[in-house]
Amino acid sequence: MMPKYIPIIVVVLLLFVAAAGGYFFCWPKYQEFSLKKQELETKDESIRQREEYLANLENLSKKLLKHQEQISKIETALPDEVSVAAIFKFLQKTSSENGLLIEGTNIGELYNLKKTGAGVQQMPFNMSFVGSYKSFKNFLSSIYQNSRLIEVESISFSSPPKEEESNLFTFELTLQTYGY
Amino acid sequence: MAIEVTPKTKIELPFWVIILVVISVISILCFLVSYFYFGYKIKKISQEIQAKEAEFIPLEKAIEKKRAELLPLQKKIADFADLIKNHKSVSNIFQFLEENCLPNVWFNDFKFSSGENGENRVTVSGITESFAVLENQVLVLEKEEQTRSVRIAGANIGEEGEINFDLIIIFNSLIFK
Repeated sequence: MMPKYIPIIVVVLLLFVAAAGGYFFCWPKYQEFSLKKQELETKDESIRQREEYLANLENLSKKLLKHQEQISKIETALPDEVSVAAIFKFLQKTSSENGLLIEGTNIGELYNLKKTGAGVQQMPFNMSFVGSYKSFKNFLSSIYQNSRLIEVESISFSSPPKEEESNLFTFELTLQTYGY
Repeated sequence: MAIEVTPKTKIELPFWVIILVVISVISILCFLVSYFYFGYKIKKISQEIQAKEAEFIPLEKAIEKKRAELLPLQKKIADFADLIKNHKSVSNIFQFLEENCLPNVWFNDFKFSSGENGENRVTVSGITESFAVLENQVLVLEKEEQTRSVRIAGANIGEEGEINFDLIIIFNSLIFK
């Protein structure tokens, strides 16, 4: 009677071994394999993206090299090291070229200006000029067109008193330049 | 003496049992092969991942170097673009006033201030012959698209009958274009 069931028991055992082996050994290995494969694909993708990004940066760098002239203009407009002497010299030259005289200024106070973090630093200062209205207008046009960025923040002037019979005005200006 | 041999009973296996045994054995073999195949593949992929990670380090360094080189410049260009966009040609205000000043109106005092809120305020004082001319002057200035508002801040009659006035003109950004 016993031998009759032996093959069935063997079959059941074999099936059990096959199922257990598949479930406890093969399936976890397959899952681990899938995860690793996915990880490799992700790594490949991120390397591809980073390489693309680096290529873009290099392209940008090459493009910027072609615009060196414009970049140097920006450097002039927003210098890292601001030379107060150079600003004053420029204003003195521009005003005299346009027929104005510098009457007073507090531009020296820019030396005491502390750099506040990175980025654009506003540097306001006052100046007063003496000259004709036409000269003043020309002076304003000149400083507007200059590569050194100087902004006019305020202007104040009055006509000279009638009894003076002069066409000379005193122009009070608040100007602002920038550093970086 | 005769030896009697008892015939061995032959076990007849049913066909389905044979099929199941074959299937089980094949399955076990397949699982064994798969187990070792996946193990080999996992090892190989792990090595590839390590190699990719090693590739990442110099790549990141190169990116950081380029970024350090370009980002400050990019920021500077953007900041410059902002500043240049708001760069004002103040002399346009004088041209505007010259073009829009009525023949019998004289300006004798001028103040301009560029407020932080982008308000470009001009205060002019002047003299004219009558209130009607002053009102006309205001209308002329108001109809220009560069002005946002024109307001008489004060007006009084002078010793010789002339009208002394103060005008506050608020310009919009079109004046600087």
